[in-house]
Amino acid sequence: MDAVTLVAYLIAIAIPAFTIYLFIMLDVFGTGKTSTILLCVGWGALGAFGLAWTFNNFILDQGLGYNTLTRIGAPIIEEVLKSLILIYLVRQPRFRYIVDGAVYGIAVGIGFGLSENMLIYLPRSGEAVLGAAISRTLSTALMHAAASGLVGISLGRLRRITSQQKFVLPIIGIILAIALHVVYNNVVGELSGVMLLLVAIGIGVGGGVLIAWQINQGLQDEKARFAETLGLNVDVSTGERRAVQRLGGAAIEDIFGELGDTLGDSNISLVRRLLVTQANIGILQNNLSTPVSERLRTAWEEEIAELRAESEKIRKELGPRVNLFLQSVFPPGDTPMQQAFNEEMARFDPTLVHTFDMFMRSADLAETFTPDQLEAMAERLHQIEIFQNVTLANLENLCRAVEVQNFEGEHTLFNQGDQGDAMYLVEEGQVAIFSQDSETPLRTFESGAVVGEFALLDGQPRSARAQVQGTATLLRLQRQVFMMFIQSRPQVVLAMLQYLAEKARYTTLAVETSIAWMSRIEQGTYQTASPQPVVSETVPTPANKVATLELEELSAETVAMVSNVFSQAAATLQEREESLRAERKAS
Amino acid sequence: MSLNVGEQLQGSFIFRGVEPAAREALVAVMRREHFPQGAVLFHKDSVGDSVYLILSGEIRIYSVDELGREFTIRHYGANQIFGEFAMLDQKPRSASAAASQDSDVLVLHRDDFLNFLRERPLIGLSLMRNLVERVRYTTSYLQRVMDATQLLTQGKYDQAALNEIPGTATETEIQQLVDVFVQMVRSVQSREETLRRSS
Repeated sequence: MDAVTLVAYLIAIAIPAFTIYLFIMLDVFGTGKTSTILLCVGWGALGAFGLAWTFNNFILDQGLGYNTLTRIGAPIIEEVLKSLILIYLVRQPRFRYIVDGAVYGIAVGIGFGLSENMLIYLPRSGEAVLGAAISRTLSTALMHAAASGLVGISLGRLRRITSQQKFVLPIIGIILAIALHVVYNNVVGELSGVMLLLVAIGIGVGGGVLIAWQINQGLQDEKARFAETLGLNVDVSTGERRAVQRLGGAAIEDIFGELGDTLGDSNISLVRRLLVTQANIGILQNNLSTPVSERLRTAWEEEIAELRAESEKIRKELGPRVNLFLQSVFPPGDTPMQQAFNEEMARFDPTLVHTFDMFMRSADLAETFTPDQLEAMAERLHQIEIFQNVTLANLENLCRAVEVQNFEGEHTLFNQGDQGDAMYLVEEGQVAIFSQDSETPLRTFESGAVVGEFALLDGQPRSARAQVQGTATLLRLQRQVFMMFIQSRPQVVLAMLQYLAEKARYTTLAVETSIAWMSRIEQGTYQTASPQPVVSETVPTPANKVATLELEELSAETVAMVSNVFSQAAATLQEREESLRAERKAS
Repeated sequence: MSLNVGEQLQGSFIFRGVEPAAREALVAVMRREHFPQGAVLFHKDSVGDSVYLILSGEIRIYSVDELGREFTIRHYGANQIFGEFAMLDQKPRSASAAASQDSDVLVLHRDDFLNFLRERPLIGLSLMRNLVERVRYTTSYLQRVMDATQLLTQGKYDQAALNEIPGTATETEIQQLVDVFVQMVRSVQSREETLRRSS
């Protein structure tokens, strides 16, 4: 073998090998394993080729002319044999959808073309071995790959069809493959040199275009199916669609189940994160059309930018195959599809999607206040302890959900034992708090004060009755809406945790102080120095008033008050004991 | 080991009800640290930002009284958790902590916790629920103990002891409060009754 022949053979091996290498590196087959793709190449190169070789020789032995065999017989035999492995694979879990079909089919074709070139065409081409290597490898490999790719795709689409005529698809696939092969064999036989090369490549490229078109068709099918799952039928009205959605409710689960089948379960949590991120980008972009302050607008724009960066990161992790699928099935430009998907997503996973913002939009609440009013209200909320760690932009957004309530004359805001379903901000007038049946208010809230903010966090029954006194304007924030707001905003949840941790600290401190005092009283050692947290400042509690602990007002003063209650108790008990002792002495 | 540790997180009220998978993930962001006997974990008044889960050994929580004498507040042993509040509110530590034996500890830093929260917002809501419950629960017990102590000062021992204070509580902190209260009522009562009888 001379150097030129050696180079020719190397080219014939290198081009297919490089193509397969690219498949593996780009992870275009995604759900399958490298071993599956190599299995396909192997089947094409050894199994299918070997059988075809035997078959073709047998037919030649039966007296059929070589020409007839090449033009008609061989394409049929070869395409059917190549398809066998695809028919086997389509029943396997690693064959998930059309792109898998295309990749596996192309791999089989490349394998077959490789053997054909190495064992038939190159040995035959004599002096022209180098030219043959180039034109043949490119063109035959392309033709074989395209033909089997078509079969793979038709099988891939088959997986998604349940109707009676489902077997029409693979038959069309094989007929297309055979047709491509026949045309190629008949045309190539007549040509030589540059013309041969050009035409051969043209056929190969044509096959490629066919494959791309078929994949696109398949992805459109997928999209249509997801749209249907989401209730996006064109001939159904919006109202009907919503009704169906409410009844069904499992749309997203269905979609994720199928996406898991298609893209692989390992990818699905990333895909979910990506789709949530995109849903939130869409929701925030909708927000931007609402008139708001510069601060809130900037905050939204910044969040959009952050989410974009995050979705880019996830896309990189997902790789090109999954991205191709997602972009075709959930195109960013398809607004109704996006919207329906966001709604489903929000119902399915409300802790991640900005449900609050969607609600504001659909409830037409978004524009109750002017941007200036919202800004002022946010500033006021910021003064309240519970909101002190929440950013002004977030508070401004939250304020969009505030309702204004006007009252004339006395009105019971809530009774003791009512579900704590809202927080009130006194804008004007007074709110008085009464215990059970008492007619004397425990306390009165003036304008600027806030009533019942703990209800936002736990919704427990009210511990007292609240009554609006005379003409008043209150701002009301519902617990349900507040929870909706914080669910998808971990930084606000953290601010709430911080607020609560501070409160919990004070209760712990108050408990420790109580324990220290009670131990001393128990032992009768009233005067011993305290080893427990020392509270310097004591607030005297009026003797006739019962010391009451208010959740909202837990603070260092509470600890002082508790300490005070016990020190007064200790003093009273000590006095009583001493007078008893004195009596005993006297007697 | 990790499965075990995940369950131990349940030992703290704050992580109660957090689903096992999330607990595992939380344990995964915790860092393991070794403290030889006598080593200080943190000083009183230093800014706190982490929660500790003891794997083995013993940690002593201590402070200094008015006369400058060190006194022990309590000990934490294997499987116990402390420092939850500091991680959340970054307030100065109310006492110091040192290893009273060679100890292995898992430390959860605030920053790691924040990153974790971003990925799993549901955990934040569980934690919130736990904290709210704790604050409400503790406050209501404390209120009852205070009211009952008022009754005690009026000499109504039996009423004080029965003043709607359940004998058992789910929190050790509260249980201790209730126990000390009951002991106090009993010993004041017996002391005063003895004095009355002999007079």
